[in-house]
Amino acid sequence: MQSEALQSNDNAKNAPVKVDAYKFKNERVSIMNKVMPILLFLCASVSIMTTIGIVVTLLTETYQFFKTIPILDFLFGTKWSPLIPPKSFGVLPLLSGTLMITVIACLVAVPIGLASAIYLSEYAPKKVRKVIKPILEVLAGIPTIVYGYFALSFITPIIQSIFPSAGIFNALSAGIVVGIMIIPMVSSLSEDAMSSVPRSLRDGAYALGATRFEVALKIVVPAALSGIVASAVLAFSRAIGETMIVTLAAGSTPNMTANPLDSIQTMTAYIVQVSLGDTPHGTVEYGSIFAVGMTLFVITFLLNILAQYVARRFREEY
Amino acid sequence: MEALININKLNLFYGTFHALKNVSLTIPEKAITAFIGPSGCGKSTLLRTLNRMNDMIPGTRIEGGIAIGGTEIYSNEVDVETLRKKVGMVFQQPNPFPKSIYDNVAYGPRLHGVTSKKALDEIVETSLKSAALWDEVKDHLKRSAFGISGGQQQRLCIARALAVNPDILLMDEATSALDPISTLKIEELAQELKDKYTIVMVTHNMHQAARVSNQTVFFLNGEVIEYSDTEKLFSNPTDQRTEDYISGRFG
Repeated sequence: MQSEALQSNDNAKNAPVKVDAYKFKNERVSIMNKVMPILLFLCASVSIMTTIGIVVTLLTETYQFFKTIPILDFLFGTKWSPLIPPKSFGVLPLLSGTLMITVIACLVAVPIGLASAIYLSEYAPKKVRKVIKPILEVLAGIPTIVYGYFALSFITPIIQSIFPSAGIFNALSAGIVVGIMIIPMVSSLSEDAMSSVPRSLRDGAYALGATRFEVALKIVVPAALSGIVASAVLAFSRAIGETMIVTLAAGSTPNMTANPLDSIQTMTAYIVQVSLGDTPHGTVEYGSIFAVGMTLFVITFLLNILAQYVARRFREEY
Repeated sequence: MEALININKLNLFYGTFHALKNVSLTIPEKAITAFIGPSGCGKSTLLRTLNRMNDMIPGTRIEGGIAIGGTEIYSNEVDVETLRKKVGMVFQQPNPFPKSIYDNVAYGPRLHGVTSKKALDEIVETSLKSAALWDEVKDHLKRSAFGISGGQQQRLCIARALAVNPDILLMDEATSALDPISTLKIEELAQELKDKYTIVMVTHNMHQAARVSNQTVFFLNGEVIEYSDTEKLFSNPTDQRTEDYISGRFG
């Protein structure tokens, strides 16, 4: 190719200039320019198509379900007994179970995650940060089924030794472990937000006689608040969608209770239960998992939008 | 003029880099002392030892001593936060907090335990007046500090520093990011403030040192080459290197 090009160059020198030489056309370039965007678009559209597919499936199945079960009974019913007659499809027990797990998880994850973020961004020497950050990220890579075992075989016995009334399956154990699972998410995102607060702001506060902790709490955290809140909301929506841990450790008793030591069932765990069982397709019970899935989808979708809104709305300029 | 700060055979190292070499200086009370010299000569480093802002840079090591009002500031008995309350600082880039004008000035006093609204109002007003900013912002104290101009922001930072009632004010090239008119305002302000405060300023601008300071210190490669009354240093320097620098032959 190259020698050819050289040759044609040589020829061009001797021969009079041909108009062709100045057409600035090249097969390779023009094909690449046409093909690549299409190829890349197709790749990008895979995830879009999948999302659309999921939403359509959810919507049609949910629609079928609501033909037999009135939507208000579903949304506001307080008894969830889809498999054992008398059948009842009130989603509130599942919702409250999910919410309890999520709230416990956030009570664990937000303070601990934020504290570790403060430590990493404001206190930790470079060397320590270099070790701790990857370890935290490994925590995020542990399969959730392992966390489920951890809850069942490690946390639950501890809880039972403190509260003898606690069952083998209880919301507290699962909630705590879901919390542990999302700590890295909170700490890593919050730390990113805090590290990007400019040094000059810290210097300004130090120069006024602020201690390290005061600088962290009164300057860095407020300045990074949008990132911190967004990380908490994302963690919240991650906790809502968590499945394996709650299936293993929280039990399968749809239960409107405020007692975290009771066994409960979350929306996700219910979907697992029905999917794994021998519920025939096309029945109301089968349809119910799509309705529950739709509910879950709407909640996490709204939370993700909220997270984005919060991140934009509370952005402090600096 | 009595000496307030005594620097005695000070050596400072960043890791293996010898940033300040055997610096001895006295800085008089209630006057303006200017540090001049080319980039990297150690003038900012020395300024930052006076309120121990260098403590935060890992690998910094100090030999020799600095005494303020007779107290050795690098001794173990000194807590840095109290020192910094007495030795305020204004930085090169205006760095107001992302809060309102009022909260910026009130930040320091609140930190040190002032909670009463009345006391805070009073501190904010006097500090802003001292920083010659009150008339420009008194009607919108609750607005964001980012809404005012760079020069006003820098005066806000001065007000913020004054609000904790320091004795010494360090200005680290405080006008280098500002336009000439804002610079002039800050220089005039420094002239007024020196009646009450001891001011140490680092400046890139020799003319500024000549215009505003009472005493000037010339640094080169981490050493103090010469220091004396500003008038004498600029009209009749004793060291050839000083003369070369102030006449613009290098730097």
